[in-house]
Amino acid sequence: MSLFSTLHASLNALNAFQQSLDVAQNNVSNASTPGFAKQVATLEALPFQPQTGLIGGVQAGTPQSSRDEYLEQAVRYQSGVLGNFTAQSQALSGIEPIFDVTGQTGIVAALNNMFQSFSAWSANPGSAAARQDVLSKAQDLGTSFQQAAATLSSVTSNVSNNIDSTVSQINTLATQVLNYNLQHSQQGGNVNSGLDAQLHDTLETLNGLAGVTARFESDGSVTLLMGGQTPLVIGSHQYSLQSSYTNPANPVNPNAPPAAHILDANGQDVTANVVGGTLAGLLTVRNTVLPSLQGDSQQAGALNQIAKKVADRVNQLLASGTDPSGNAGAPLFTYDASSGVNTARSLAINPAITANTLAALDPGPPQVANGIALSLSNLGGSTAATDTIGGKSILDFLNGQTQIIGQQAADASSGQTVAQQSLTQAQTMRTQVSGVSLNEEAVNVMELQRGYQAISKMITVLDGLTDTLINMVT
Amino acid sequence: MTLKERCHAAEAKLEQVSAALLDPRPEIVDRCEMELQEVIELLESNALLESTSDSTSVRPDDRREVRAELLRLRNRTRLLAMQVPQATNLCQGWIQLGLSEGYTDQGTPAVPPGEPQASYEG
Repeated sequence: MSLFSTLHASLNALNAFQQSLDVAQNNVSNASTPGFAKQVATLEALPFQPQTGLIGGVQAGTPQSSRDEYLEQAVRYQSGVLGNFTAQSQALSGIEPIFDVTGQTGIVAALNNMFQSFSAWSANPGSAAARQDVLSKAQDLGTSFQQAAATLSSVTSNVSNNIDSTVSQINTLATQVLNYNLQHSQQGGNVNSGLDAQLHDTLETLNGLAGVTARFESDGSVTLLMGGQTPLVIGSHQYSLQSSYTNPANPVNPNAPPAAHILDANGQDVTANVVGGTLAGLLTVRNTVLPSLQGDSQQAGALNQIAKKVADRVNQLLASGTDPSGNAGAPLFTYDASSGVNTARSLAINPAITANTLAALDPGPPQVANGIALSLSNLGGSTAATDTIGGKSILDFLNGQTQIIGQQAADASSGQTVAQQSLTQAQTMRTQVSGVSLNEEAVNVMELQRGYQAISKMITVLDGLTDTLINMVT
Repeated sequence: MTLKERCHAAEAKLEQVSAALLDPRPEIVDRCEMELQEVIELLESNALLESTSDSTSVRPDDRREVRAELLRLRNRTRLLAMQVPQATNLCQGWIQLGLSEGYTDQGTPAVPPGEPQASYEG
């Protein structure tokens, strides 16, 4: 081998080792860069055949990323689950106080107080103080319903604003993926580790906002699909989302809060394709939880149902009675009946009623001096068909709503806790395995899996044990 | 140790296990296994005590408190139950990946081609 060939081979080797040092330096510099995965320098042996002039040695290959796409997907998926539960939990925490499970505040307390005032009045129908207390508690109940309706309206506005800003963030992040595709194309398929880190960080954030599938195409570009169907980015094209709030034509309830819709770039409704992330959580609260309480174009909502049933039945009972002057009883409540969703927000005490026009006497026959007051005091627990909502007494129906909201809030909170743990677990595992050969670690992983399976069996035993103990002390 | 204290101790151990499982290493998972065994023993002795004690001798207030503790313990157990399958699935997927040939260009695990099947026809 000539001196020139020897020097040339040495120069190749020096260049290769310099590149290895550069890769190491880059890894150290980016240790805390979001989305960065360690790069591994590769060395390629050169053919060695001195007779034909091939001088051997090494040359630097393309640095390989140690990114593990499986674990990346696991982290992205968990980000989406966490985003979904967090959004639900935050929104529900604003609704929960309306239906206070302790019965000390809110509608539950106001309703109980009013029925107690009816009861006190029935025990002493001639008492001016008892009559005045009925008016006072009825006024409190009206205020309580109005406040609840206002709170729900405020939560609706907040959730709508969050939906708008989430859609805007999704579009901004999709633009970053589009820019990645454009740069990737301009650089002839060679992407530096910084751009790669930025892409993966963007994908993780994006999944926290919406369930997005990232597909790496054979040309190196990234295709983004929401819910596996709605395109956000394909090659060098972006398809922006938008939020919209509309009610169907000819609604049953005019003035109802409109449902939230997510539209694709062609204006098609793709709300059903939002399956994960913050956006899915917000849409669940906005289109399912809130309408079940405050109503929408088709349903009155539990809050309005309770307000209407209480107002109507109290007014009907009073109208069937006679006041101390011998006149038919005046209605205690008024509300806007123009739409099923207006009842709670407009429920108020009849401005014309006075303590003296409250009708306690049931004219019968037989005539009962406190008959109407007594019926009113029993109204809350009455299971007569005219007094029930969905087959339940007024108080049972209200308790049922309180439990539903409490359970939804508890489920969202538990889901948030578990999703946060799962995300941390996946992130930790991603950090631990990054750059480690799967073959080297396979034994460890199998050991891990065996351990988790053993733990799973123990948890089943524990669950059974706690159940047994609970039954013993009940 | 009273029933209530045992429940407290069990719940504290479950919280430790839940936190430890966030760092998925074989030695930690092994340690969690032992901790859970201790919780089971603790509760089994509770069950034994309860079954042999005269239920009327315990004040109703105490029973309510113990029941509340047990309900919290069950909630904590169920949270843990939701946490573990996620880790098991993650390992399962990783093992499957280890047996495959890396990733396709689309980022999905590449399954190795099967052995050519011999044909006995013709």
